[in-house]
Amino acid sequence: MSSPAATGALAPTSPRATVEADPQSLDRPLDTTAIELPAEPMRLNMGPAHPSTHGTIRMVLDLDGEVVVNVDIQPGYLHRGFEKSCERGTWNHVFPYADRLNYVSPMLNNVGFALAVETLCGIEVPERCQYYRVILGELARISDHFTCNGAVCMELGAFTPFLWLIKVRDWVYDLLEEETGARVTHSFGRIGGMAEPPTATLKSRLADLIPEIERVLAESEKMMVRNRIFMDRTRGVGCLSQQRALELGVTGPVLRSTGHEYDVRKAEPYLLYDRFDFEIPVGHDGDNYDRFMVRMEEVRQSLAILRQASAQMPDEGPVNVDDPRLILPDKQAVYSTIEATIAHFKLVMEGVKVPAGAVYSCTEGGNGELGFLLVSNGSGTPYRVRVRPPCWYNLYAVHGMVHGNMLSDVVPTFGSINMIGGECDR
Amino acid sequence: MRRSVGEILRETLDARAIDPQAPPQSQEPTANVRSRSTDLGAGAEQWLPEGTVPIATTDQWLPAARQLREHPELAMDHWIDLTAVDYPQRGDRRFDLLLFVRSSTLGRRAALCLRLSETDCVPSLTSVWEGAVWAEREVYDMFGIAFAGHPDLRRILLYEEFVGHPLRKDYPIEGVQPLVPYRKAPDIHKLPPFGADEGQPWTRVQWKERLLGKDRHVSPAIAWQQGQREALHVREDAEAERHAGQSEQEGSDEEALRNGSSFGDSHPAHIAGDSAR
Repeated sequence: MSSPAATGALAPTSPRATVEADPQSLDRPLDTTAIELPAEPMRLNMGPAHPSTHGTIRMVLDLDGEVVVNVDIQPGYLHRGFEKSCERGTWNHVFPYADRLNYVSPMLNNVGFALAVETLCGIEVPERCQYYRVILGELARISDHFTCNGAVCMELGAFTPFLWLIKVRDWVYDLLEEETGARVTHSFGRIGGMAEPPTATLKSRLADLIPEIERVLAESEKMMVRNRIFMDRTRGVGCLSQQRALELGVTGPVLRSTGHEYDVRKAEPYLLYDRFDFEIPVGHDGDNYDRFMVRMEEVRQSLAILRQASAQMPDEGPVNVDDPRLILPDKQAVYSTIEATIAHFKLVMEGVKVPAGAVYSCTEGGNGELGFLLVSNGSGTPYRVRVRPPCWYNLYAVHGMVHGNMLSDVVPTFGSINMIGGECDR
Repeated sequence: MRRSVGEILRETLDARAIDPQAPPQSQEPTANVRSRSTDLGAGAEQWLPEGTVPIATTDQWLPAARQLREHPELAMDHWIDLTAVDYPQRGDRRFDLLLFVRSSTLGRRAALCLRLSETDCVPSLTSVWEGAVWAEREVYDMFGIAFAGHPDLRRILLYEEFVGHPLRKDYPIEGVQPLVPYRKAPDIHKLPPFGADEGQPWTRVQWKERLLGKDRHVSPAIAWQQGQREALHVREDAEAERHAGQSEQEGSDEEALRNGSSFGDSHPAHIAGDSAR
């Protein structure tokens, strides 16, 4: 499994040996040699029951003293067979599963999957729906980044910022609950639209929420960014080089913290992201501090997108495409006409008939490029659904990032990767 | 007008490296491009995302990947994904292995496809992009496709006793796996999830004895690093004999207790062994 890294016996060093004892001095030379322990690598098992591993990852670490010399990360404790399960239902049955991939930002997965299927069908949803998806997605991104950064702070022992940031997540959940009817797993996306049109109060609630989020953002930054303890614990810890990040398939905030500005929203715009004025924050060291800062700044950019999208979104207009092959008929019509009843029955029982073909479609999820490889054989059931989980490759990158760091740095490094078990293990 | 990935590969590799069965695809794969169905008729069906370059043989897989990475017009240095699709109705060469990469400098993407049969062994791409390490382990786990030259090919999402490969189409969705017995490892002094070379021994460490090389609970990996491998083998043999004798007597707990000389000795022997069941 792990190679016996260069961890031979540490040469015992006794720096005090030559110091003469001054009889007047109160300082007594300490005899350090008496407590020398045998220097051999210790193999430590961390997780899956360790709280910082979310109960889903097992790490086997080789330690030289407190320094990590080797690590083997073993995912799979949350494997539910997502991809296999998708092959037995209809295309619309995938949405609840997609929610449970990255359950910290479920709306982004919903939208990502819907976009992939719509690409395969060759349709584009109405503009109002695209704005709506952008708004809900950016709200989910804010809650994702705040959760991650709050967890990083807490893993360094700072409990207050965690509560401040999680408070925002709750406000976002309140808004999403108002819109979708569910706080966490919304199952709100549909092929060709959304389950419901935006509520009438969406814009006013957003207008109230955005300044509040900005206030918390500024507060938390004031508390953490120049905090001596925080800087000492995060700067230069868990470094990842840009070249290595690319080779490992790292995407999202973790890649951007190394200085490479790759964001699917800018590089290959989908929805209406080319209409908004926003920037991609990048770091340069790829350490825990940069990842924290990149996420904080991305929240600010998301707020800018929210403002613009809220201002531009039309108040009237259709949300779903006008295509009875994709969208369920009006409920009143189902109860009163035979055509609508049959359409409803066929859509529910047989599912949307997606044309045969394959597509790889990616969106910017909370953790990076969330890709869906879909293969359809023309029936109502997916032939193959492969999700490219950004966490999967980000987590693999931890192998090199913790080498040479202290054991206590493994926890915040792991936290700043924002590994989400549901997405990583599927 | 930049050339397509297929054209460049056709030029730099042998022309026969590109699968002639699949129709040539000129369009560049971008993120959200409507794909074209390349249905090749009954018994030979295959659907590929737009712009995927089909590679003809497994021999050409690694050279093609190297070209993607090294050719100046491609420079695909960003690993994206590797996965497979199973088409058992094709009979022979049932799997499609799909590779997705991206160029960080040029911003373009490429996708390769390789048709495989169950017995084919694909050269591993880990020497080209290290990101392939976990991706190939997952494909191996889910489809049973073996990769030659992979540094560490073991199951990754599922446990090693799992029977079959679940993303194959012939694996039933309602498939139920047998219960896994405790792993058999003679006298590893660890609770069941740990292999012989994992975790800490389930005992107190006797530092003095360990330094003298007499501590029998030293983990094999550590012992190997300390050059104690020989001594450990001798001990393992002795333990195996003891275990053989134990199983004849149906491995009573008393036996385990009698053999155990210290606090740490007593219980793992019968927990880790088979006698508990």
